[in-house]
Amino acid sequence: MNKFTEKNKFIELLNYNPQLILMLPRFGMKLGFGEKRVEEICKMNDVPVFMFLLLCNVYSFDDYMPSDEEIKEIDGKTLVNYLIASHDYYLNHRLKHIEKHITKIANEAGKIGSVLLEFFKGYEEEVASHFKTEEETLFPSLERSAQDAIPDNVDTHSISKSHDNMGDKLSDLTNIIIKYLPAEIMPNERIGVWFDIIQLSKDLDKHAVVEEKILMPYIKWMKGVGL
Amino acid sequence: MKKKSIVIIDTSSIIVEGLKTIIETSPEFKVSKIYRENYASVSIPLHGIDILLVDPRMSSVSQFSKFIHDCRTENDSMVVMALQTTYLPAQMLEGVDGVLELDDSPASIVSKLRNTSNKNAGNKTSDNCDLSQREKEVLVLVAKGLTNKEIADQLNLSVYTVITHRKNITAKTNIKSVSGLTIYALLNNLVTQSEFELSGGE
Repeated sequence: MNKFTEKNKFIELLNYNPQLILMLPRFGMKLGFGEKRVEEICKMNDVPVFMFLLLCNVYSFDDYMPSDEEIKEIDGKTLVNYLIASHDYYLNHRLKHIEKHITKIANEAGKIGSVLLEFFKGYEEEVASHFKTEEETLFPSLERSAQDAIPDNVDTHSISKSHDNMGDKLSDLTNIIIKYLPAEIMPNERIGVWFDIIQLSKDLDKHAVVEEKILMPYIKWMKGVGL
Repeated sequence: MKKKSIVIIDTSSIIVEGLKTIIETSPEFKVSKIYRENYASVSIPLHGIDILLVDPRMSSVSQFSKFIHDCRTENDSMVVMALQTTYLPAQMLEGVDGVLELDDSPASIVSKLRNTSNKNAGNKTSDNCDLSQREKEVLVLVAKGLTNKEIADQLNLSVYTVITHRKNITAKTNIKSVSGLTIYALLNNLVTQSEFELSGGE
């Protein structure tokens, strides 16, 4: 398989890539979909099927690159809603959950604990501020469709760069937790949070891919260059 | 291929000159310095040295093991080999990576040097969180929040060399961010928490 279509059952998408379960809350869709096809689920939930498939395809197939025609067909409002829902999930669910476990570990880690927690909170703040920048400078103009609505000062390069930096810190955190903290500090808690971070890290990587393969080309197209 | 640099310490001219001649028949090695003295009485700059050949005779086990320990603190990627020119108690040779004996043939001397230094290089890559002394010094200054330029000035290195050390530190530890490296330095007792807080963190 190299691309999903509206005729696939949603459960087939999930069997291929379990991470796609995360698409449901981001599109405001519900569980309990039985054996329904993608087109039916989208219709029931009032989600444009084209957008749903575009996101699932970019999310699941590394070599899937949206064509110029697909970029032109993007519905800005749906895309923005999807991205904002993803941001909310990262900040208010996953990171809070991980923070709870890191705090437990930090409390047992003596002096180094406070530094570890500070490191994690620094990462959280960085993520929050990155999302805020995107939501304030980029997203409002995408919901309109006038070509002159995109501010000229949107720096897509620095947004990509900041994706890299955040990825580095998350990878540093996994290394510190597994390789460098003294062995006796809460090993089970550390193994648990390690899986949580790996999962988040994969999801965030895909989020960055979505922004780079869908959002950025869409902005370029709206600005009237590149397409 | 870069030649491996060897330092020889022995009071006997016959031994050091003979060894030098044998070693330099091989294109892999060069003798960069000879000390015709007792090891305990010389101070040897070890930076950049790959193999140290030292004759431990006429000293006590504890003297010699302290000497080896000091050498490794200064340059922990270096191979230390003993020259066995007389009877030595087994404990004497515990801390060294290999032994050259008076009766070894030239071919066996070269192959012992090669095998011991390769074996040692292999260990270093498998234990990849081991930083060299210089890398530790750079790491400490990174953790304290200094820029590459400031680190270069403080350690008398070029900025280019500092960047190379930083790349190697990241390759060995798998940690990229400055704040992550600070935690690594704290966990390995390279800096204390008060030093880190004085510098104001990142």
